[in-house]
Amino acid sequence: MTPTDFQTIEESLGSLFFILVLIYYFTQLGRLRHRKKLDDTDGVKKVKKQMLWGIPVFIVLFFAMVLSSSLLL
Amino acid sequence: MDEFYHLIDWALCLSGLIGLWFFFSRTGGPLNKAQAYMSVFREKGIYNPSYGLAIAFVYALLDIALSIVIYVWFYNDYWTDSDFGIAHLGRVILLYTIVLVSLHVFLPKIDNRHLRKTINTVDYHKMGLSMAAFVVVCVAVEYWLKRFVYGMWYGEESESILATVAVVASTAWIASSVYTSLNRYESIKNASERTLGALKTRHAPIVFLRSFVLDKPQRKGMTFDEYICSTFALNSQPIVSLSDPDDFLPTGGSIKIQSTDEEWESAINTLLMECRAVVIFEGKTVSLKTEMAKIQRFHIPHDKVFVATPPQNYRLAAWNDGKITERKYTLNYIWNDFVKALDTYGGMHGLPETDPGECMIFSFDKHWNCKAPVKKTGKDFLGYVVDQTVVHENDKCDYISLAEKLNRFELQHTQVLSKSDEKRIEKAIIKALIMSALMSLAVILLIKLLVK
Repeated sequence: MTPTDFQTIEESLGSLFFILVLIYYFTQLGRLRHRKKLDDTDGVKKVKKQMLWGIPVFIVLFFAMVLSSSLLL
Repeated sequence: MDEFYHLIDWALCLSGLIGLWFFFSRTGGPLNKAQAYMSVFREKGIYNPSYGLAIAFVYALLDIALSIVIYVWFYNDYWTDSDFGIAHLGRVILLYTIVLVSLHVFLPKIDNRHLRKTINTVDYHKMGLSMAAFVVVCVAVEYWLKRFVYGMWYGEESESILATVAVVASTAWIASSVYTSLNRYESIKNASERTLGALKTRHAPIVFLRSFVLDKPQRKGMTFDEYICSTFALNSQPIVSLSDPDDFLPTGGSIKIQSTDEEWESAINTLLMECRAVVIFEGKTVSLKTEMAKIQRFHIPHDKVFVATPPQNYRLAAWNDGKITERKYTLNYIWNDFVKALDTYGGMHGLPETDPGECMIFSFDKHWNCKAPVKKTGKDFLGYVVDQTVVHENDKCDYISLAEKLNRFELQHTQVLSKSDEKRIEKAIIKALIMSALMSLAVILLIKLLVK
């Protein structure tokens, strides 16, 4: 595998990951709006918590992905 | 390796398509746009759907005019087909947003509440047919422009066939939806003239207590109320409920009382005193809680009161707002909140805390503890309520005097819109449309200058 191949795979995986994160946060925003409409204060808190936890989880996942791809490929 | 690249390409393509679908499902077709415009009118207190449709009508013409402007100004050797496609997508988003914002700014707030139970002479059937024909003509013109004038979809044969099939299918769907939604007004405009005073029976009515939100969504052209009353002999056993005074036309099904904000409680008090049974449908409004409290205050016998859940498709449409991931959570939340309210305000205990499912009917013992529920669908739903309340059946209900009593609490004003209000709205619409056209042209011109 040439370094260019490796770079292309890394870039593709990076964009895929970015799209997944975007989809996740858009879905969560939709849920948040929906629960606000229902006046469900507990439900809103729960979604907000999930969104906050998402940040470290996605950062860890991102580094894990970069590390594993460099080790495997 | 190539397979891996293909896989990534497919994944990116798929996520892009999902994103586009998400965007178009909210802003795409002319019908969605008409609905969005209508919601602006509703916010301003104007409930006549013909205004929203008129805007959609002019919007479609403006859209075609702007697409020609883009073609004349931009289409040259330097622009590829995909650039041109992106420019058209930008135009759609731009015009839609500007029209929406302009309407918000220019439309005056109007008090348009009036009694809808008047003779409505508008031919909605004809209106629906002409709007559907208009949609077909507009799409045909736009298709002709794109295909034969702008030269889009001239790549591979499969691409042009796919585009043609997509255009024809979406046009047929939009035209039929426009026709169906307008033709519905034709079918309910006479239902809105039904009055209690005209009833010949002397059986006391069954009263529905429900949130107005539950009566808004339609499935197979019927609201929830119409669905459960559709196969029931309403003339011999009348069903009565309050209607949303903001509805353009009261729906079919139960006979609707269109009371004022100040008098709705008096209307409910009158109905509760005269009724044969009360059915409370799950809901989440302050008014529903007030109604629950009235059941205890007026000492309504326990065997006259039923708590019920509507069919699943109506529940999801009313409460869930299309959120696929939130279905179970929403139904559980609404039911749980409803049960707590029944306990606190209505003194009714023992109902399950989690969602019991669709079409369940709960009745109560003399201590107001809930009995085992039964599941009834279609006409069996009301049949069950009737069977359970045979002991309360009497033939003493005088509908003429009941109608007279309730008439005092109903909206009395029957005029649709005053001439001066009509003129104000028309002026605002013209202003908003001119402003939208000018602003869109200005933005396109600015882009042209920047591109140079």
